[in-house]
Amino acid sequence: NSRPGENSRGSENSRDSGAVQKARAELRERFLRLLSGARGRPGRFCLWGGIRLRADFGAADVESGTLQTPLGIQRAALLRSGDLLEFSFPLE
Amino acid sequence: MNDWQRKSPLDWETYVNKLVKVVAVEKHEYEGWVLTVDPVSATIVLATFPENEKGSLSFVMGHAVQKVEILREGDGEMEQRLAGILAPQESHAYSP
Repeated sequence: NSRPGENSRGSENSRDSGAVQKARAELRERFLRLLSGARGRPGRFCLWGGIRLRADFGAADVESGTLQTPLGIQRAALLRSGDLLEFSFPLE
Repeated sequence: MNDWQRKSPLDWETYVNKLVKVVAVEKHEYEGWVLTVDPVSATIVLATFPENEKGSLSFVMGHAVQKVEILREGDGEMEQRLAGILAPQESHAYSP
């Protein structure tokens, strides 16, 4: 909103895009806060085909530590977000 | 890309602080209070507070979402509870 001349343009479009950008920024900031808060917590991961895994969440995109699989515990693993349907963590 | 992923941030924002039921692929259903929707991946983040249990956070990936139905609006108390999840203690250090 601080850019000079923005208000004077006064078109519907510029007002709309400003509101969209604000909403996008707020939603994204909340998301990143929640993701960073999940780091190191024990998570449950639900994948396609009813596959469920337990793992400690490492970092987004989505890396996990100590992945528990039917074949044993993997010390670290990367999960592709496209393979995931949902994941959850307990609140502190 | 599904209908949910195509929504505008202004649409997603209307779900924040509301109790919703998310219908996902493979007949999964999730119910909880919306904390946010990631505008990049359309992932919806829900908080659930089961009685006599610790609450949990659930991230439903945008590509898995089929339908989101609003069940209830949040009151002031619930909004505060949700804000508490978003404001970790260490953020106080950055306050002026």
